[in-house]
Amino acid sequence: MKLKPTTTFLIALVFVAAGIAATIATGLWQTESDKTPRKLDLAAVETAVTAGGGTADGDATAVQYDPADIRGSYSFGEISTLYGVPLSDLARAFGLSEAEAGDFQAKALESRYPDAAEELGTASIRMFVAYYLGLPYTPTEETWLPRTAVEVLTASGRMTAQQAAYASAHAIP
Amino acid sequence: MRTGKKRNPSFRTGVQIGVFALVMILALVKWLKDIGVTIPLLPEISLHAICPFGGVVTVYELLATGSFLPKLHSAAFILMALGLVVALFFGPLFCGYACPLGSYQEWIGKLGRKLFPKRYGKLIPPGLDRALRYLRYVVLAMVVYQTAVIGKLVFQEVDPYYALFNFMTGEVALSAFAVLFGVTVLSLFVERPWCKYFCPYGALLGLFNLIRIFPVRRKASTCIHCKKCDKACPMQIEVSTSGAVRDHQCISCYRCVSGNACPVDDTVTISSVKEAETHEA
Repeated sequence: MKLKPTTTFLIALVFVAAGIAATIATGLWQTESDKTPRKLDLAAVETAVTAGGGTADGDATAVQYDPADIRGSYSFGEISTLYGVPLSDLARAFGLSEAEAGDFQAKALESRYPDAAEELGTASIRMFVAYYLGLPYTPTEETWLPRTAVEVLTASGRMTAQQAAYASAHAIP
Repeated sequence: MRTGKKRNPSFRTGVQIGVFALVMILALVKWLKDIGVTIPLLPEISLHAICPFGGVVTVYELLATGSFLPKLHSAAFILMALGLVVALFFGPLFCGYACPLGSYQEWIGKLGRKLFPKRYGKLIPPGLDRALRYLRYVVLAMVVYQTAVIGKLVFQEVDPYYALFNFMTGEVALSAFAVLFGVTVLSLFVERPWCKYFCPYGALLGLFNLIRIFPVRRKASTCIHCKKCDKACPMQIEVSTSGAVRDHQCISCYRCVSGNACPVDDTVTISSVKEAETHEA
């Protein structure tokens, strides 16, 4: 069977368009986050928290979403709702007013601190939320926090000794 | 029988311009939305959502955790799957017709031909050129491995496609701008340098040239050995000595086929295995 270039392209185009249409019709096609983060394995979390010197109290193990799955498109308001971190604490930690924090997207944090000695971004928020809730968290890269965030974390009192040491050593004035 | 018709290159150029404009519009709409300006009727879609290579790099994450990498969604994975099926039939048609970065390099290359007619296509020695063409498989392996280990879109830091369409957002790493600049300058002397030497998605799609159902085929019995097919090929594949073009670098642009570069009807064609067996028998 022989095909012309134009026919070849049109067959491919129709196939791709039909594939997209079919996945839209079946609800599989998504171009933005559905704002449902990955769930944590609660039993594993309890074991890790206890092993790390923390206390697996009701607050820590009741959280069902993984802070490592916080996306740049999440607003502080959404993070507060999904993870149970009070918006006032999130706002104070990252130098925002409570009024503007609700719609403030995680990915905008970097531009909020343009002159910071180290990068502050979505990874900082992931670590903050995990430490705030006393959840085990291993940064995939060296992660920094504003000094105000470390103060809020210290006040929350849920960090393990190891987390407190890391946060303290990675605080930016 | 000879033909003087050369319609398909203009059709292809039209497709390239259309896809380039569409991607640029989507990027602008998304950026405007991010700075608080909403354009009515136009969808707000992140470029990550419609980049099929995103589907490739998120496969490990999907298998390991059941979710996509940050910034990626099911659309990228679906486009990757559809693209692979298309490649199984027609090879890297995406590269030849749709990839905006490939089109960009082609257009810069046309400028390079005019500015540096003696240097164009002669910058890289043939031996080095042959070796460098396997570099993109190293890039593919490194990107997939690093993405799996780190769990985020590491390629974005050096991705010239991302830099080309997101230069206004402030989210592009300096390293990505540097790569885009390098690709632009190199394109003035080398045809589609990113595609030939570095593109990890082109590397993956290129493998389908080895098994594609509809390869470009040359009919030796009617070939007049004018080598116009060789000269037309942006990847410098020797179509004039091939039976079926199974070169891993073919981008399915079809510039070589009868009706385009080939002046003889029914000589360089896109045909299935069964048809080719009839030819070669």
